[in-house]
Amino acid sequence: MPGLGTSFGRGGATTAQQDLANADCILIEGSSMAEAHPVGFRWVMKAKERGATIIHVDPRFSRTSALADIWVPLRAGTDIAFLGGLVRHLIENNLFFREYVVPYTNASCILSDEYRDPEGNGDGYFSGWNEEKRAYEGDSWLYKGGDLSRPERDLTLQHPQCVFQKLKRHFSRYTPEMVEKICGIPPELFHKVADALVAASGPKKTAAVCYAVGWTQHSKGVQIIRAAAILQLLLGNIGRPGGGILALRGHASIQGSTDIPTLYDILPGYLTMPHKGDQTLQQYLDTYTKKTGLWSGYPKYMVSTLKAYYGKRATAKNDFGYSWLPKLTGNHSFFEFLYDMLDGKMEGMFLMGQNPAVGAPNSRLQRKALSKLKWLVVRDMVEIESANFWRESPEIDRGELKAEDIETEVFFFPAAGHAEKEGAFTNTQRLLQWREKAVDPPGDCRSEAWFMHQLALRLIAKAKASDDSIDEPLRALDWWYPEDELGDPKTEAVLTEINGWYTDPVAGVGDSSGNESVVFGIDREGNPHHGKQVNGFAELKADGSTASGCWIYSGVLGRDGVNKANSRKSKDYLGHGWGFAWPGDRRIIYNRASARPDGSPWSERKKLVWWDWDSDKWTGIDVPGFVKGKPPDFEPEVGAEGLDAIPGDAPFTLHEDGLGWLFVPKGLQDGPLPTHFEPLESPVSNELYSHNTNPPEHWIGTRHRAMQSFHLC
Amino acid sequence: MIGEGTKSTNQRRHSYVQEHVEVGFFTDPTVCIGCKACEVACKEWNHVPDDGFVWSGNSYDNTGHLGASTWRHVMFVEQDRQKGNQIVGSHSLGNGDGEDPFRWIFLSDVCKHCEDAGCLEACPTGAIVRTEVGSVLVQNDVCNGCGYCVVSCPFGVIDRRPKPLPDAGGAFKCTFCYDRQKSGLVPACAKVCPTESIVFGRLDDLRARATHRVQELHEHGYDDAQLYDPRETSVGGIHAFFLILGEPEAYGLPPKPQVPTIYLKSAWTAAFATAIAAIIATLLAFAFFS
Amino acid sequence: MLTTYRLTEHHTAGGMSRFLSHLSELQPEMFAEISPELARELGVKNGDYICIVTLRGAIEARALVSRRIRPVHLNGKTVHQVGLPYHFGTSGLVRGGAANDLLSISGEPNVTIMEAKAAACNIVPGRLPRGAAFEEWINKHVPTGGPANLHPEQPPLDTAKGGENPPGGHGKEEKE
Repeated sequence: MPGLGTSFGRGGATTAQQDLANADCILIEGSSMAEAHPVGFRWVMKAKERGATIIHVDPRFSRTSALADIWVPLRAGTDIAFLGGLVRHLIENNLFFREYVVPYTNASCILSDEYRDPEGNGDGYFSGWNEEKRAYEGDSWLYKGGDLSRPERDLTLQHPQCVFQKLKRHFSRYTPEMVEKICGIPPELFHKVADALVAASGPKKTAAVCYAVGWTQHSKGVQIIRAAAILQLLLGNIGRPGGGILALRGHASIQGSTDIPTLYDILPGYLTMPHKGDQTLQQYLDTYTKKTGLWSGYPKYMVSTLKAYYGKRATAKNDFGYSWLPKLTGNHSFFEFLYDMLDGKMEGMFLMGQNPAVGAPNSRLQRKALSKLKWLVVRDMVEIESANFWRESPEIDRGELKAEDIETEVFFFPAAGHAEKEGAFTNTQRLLQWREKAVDPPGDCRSEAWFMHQLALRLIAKAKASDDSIDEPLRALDWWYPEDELGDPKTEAVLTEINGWYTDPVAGVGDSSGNESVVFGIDREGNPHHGKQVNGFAELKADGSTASGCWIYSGVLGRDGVNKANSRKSKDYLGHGWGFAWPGDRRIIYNRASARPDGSPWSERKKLVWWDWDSDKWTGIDVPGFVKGKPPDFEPEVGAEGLDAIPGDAPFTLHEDGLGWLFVPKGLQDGPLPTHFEPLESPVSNELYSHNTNPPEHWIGTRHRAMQSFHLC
Repeated sequence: MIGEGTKSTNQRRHSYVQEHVEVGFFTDPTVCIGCKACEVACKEWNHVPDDGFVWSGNSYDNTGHLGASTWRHVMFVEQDRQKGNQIVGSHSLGNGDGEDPFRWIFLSDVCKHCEDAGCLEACPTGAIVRTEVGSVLVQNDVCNGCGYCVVSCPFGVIDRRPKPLPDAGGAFKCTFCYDRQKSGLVPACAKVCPTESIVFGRLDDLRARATHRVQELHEHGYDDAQLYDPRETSVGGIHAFFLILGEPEAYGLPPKPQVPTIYLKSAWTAAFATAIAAIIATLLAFAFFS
Repeated sequence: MLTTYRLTEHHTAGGMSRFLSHLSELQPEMFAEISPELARELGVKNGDYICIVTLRGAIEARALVSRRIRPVHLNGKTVHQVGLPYHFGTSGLVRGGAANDLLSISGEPNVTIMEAKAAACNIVPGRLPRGAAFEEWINKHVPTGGPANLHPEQPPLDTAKGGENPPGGHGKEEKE
């Protein structure tokens, strides 16, 4: 998610659920954790048992509120006003954790003189607004001089153009009285929350924030998460035990399905999907590679991905098959192709693990769209509404649609349940956990892997029989996966490819049970397919000598031949030895911040990772998220690139400047700082700005907005 | 304690059956999250059928009460009272115009497995027995469905299963997962409880733990926390005991549960007296009319 | 305003829970959580059927009246909130209105996600008419004022001009 990604560098929960037990205060908002994540909630209860204050902010008194110390009812959709109020409270009363904020965040960075905030005229717009396109453009949000890697800084935080002063001004009107007017929270209750958070901040204390889709599913969801990120950075809670932001995902492996995405606009490991303008690999890499920080390795990750897709057919001469990747021509999100269905532009659809006929917004429109398809494949364990909408739905009941008029041919494929197939889930805390198959699925039920594998084999065979150039990407695929007796691909072979390997094939192969260094090394024709596995993404190369299906998962099945997602012996409270957390089995990311700038722990109570002066390296309870031998006082040379450009006291190594971003100079469509806007449908107007709703919200076309109204469609 | 993982008595293997150790359940509503995993795990393991899809409108409780097809039941109690020092909205604020306090308590109810069990005493076929771990078990292959046990339970737990459910007619209740326990496993409900609100273990350990928990809660402002573990009445103690907030009646628990057989003496005396009176009345009637 | 949420007893759109008896019996029917204050204003008792109506459509649900949900007071204005679990649909062992029938398709600017957690609605006591009578019914009860915050790109629907709050159209003001 860009909320966490732009603030800290990685779009994943910063901590592990087990670590909530170490928190001194837990703020749960936008989530009913006890109800939707009951197993993880045990760690909240553990923290409470140890004396932590549990706060639940929600319109409803849910099962989570029942177990909380403080329940704060707020009006749905006003979270930014509440969180912004807390941010203002910390700044105005000088209650933020200054020793953390000054070195580790971009509070001190000087912004461009062109930057203007919505306080100027109170309309809610930042600089860069293009009214005609209804979008922000230009780079007025960048640091002064435009270079993100070497920002000019004022460590006293007094410079009028520094982030801290801009932040202070931006939230200056988010007073407790304003919070009451917008959210309906009395000031006294607001102060109880503020006091609990402040009491849990500093060298010896930490507080954690948990959220779920109660924040995400808003017209300004990313900015709500950003507001929480700002709060946690000001309190000094990121990268430290008992701190962090825990993004509780919507269901099993939702984190996994953005890491190895089911989204149209990213490739595995958060690489950008090429756009129409990105003609050659070099053009593409030039656009997305950053000079400093971990993203400086972009070419290595991208070329290794292409080598995983196209195998031997990907060579330096043909741009490693870059031309075979489809290129984006616009917004191809789920809602867009829903409209394409309604317009009759889309003939068929595969529906797997989804039930839009009741599970997607404006379900009536969804059902109508399904009825316009020529064919529809539904794979599920039961005949869900999306498979039988043509014979039982409210529209059929009301005579709006008639079964005999619907031409959609529905193919229903019975799917295997989770105990009937093997594979890995990636849970809410970036943790890959392997699941063995308990029993074979009954009858014709098959796993998703079986379906996709068998479909691919048939499509590739068809493509090979054709000489149409449009089929070239299918002919180029390296579909090497060995099968089991049911015709499923061997799922651990897929995991091995995800982990990555050296591409030169070597003889001598085994499976993942032994100590053989090359596992599943034989392709479908019985030939050696690849070389030894890599041990982590640091080994990946941009010259085609390595392949990796998802660079961030690298290390899950390394040269020791052990499937670490399937490990089940937990060694410590963070759960090392149980499953594998990306990146590099780190459980709390950005953990350089758990030590002071000089490398010593903030306190004995909150120590996690520290610099060991005897051995000259980072060490501790977690896997250090920092170059192991880079001393805390390291100063990069002028012009240094990659990780060498990151100083020894900059924990957020994915950012070009290594800092936590209170202010996001690049990467968001709706502003560098969160701003309160009303929900799209709200019974009240915006108390803070003259503009009511988030300005760049897309309604995806005027006609489509109108179509959503019942009596117009 | 929560989060002990495999070291918890809810997770580790045991040999209580083989060693004839008295076991119990201690259920603590102050950590229960009302997830009903205990209800589902119980039904899944024991092949207990669903007993109807009826929405009750009583908070989130659509289970209603314990019975032949409900061996665990999570209660959802909504009260206009404060729980410990919990702040719920604006009720506790100093400005005086706050709302009434409010609390929502979840408590997972189960067969109490009485020391002197009414059902066991009433069973004419010997279908109900006491096990090595002190629990009370209905052997369904011996039960003839007479229903004497049903009226003899002071807690209203055991019941006959109505038609058309499978095995209709027989009496059913919690088995304390005796089958699992024999194999060293813990009961299914305790195994799945995510917050260890249900704790399974040695009865003596649990009682010590429960006493400590009540003290701890008193120190943290839960003034009305108490144990529900009647040992002074004729049930002679229970194996599944509870921590409760407030009075037992709010949870449908009788404050002084009694085994019905204690009324036998007075019942027989009354019956005898009635019989004598009837004979005398008859004789008098004859005397009067003649 | 309505907000949607999950129940522990069901899973997402219900495909993995509404078809399983041991989960279905725990939450067997669609309900809407409303406050005692709103129930009083509407003349509705716990367990009564109510209909929830938005610009997109309408569903019926049982009213679950509880202090667990409360109106908020803003600057002298009262806003009622309605809680809707989103797991139900027309198939399975237990059936009920799909809360998603009420929500709009919208696109958050960064990730194109919809707004599922806050929307304006009307509440009408009673059951939803079946068959063709539905259309007449919804035309009568749909929030006529339209949303207060029309996007400038969007031509006004009916009477709404955008910007200022239209009269009625939300919760209690528009009730029968």
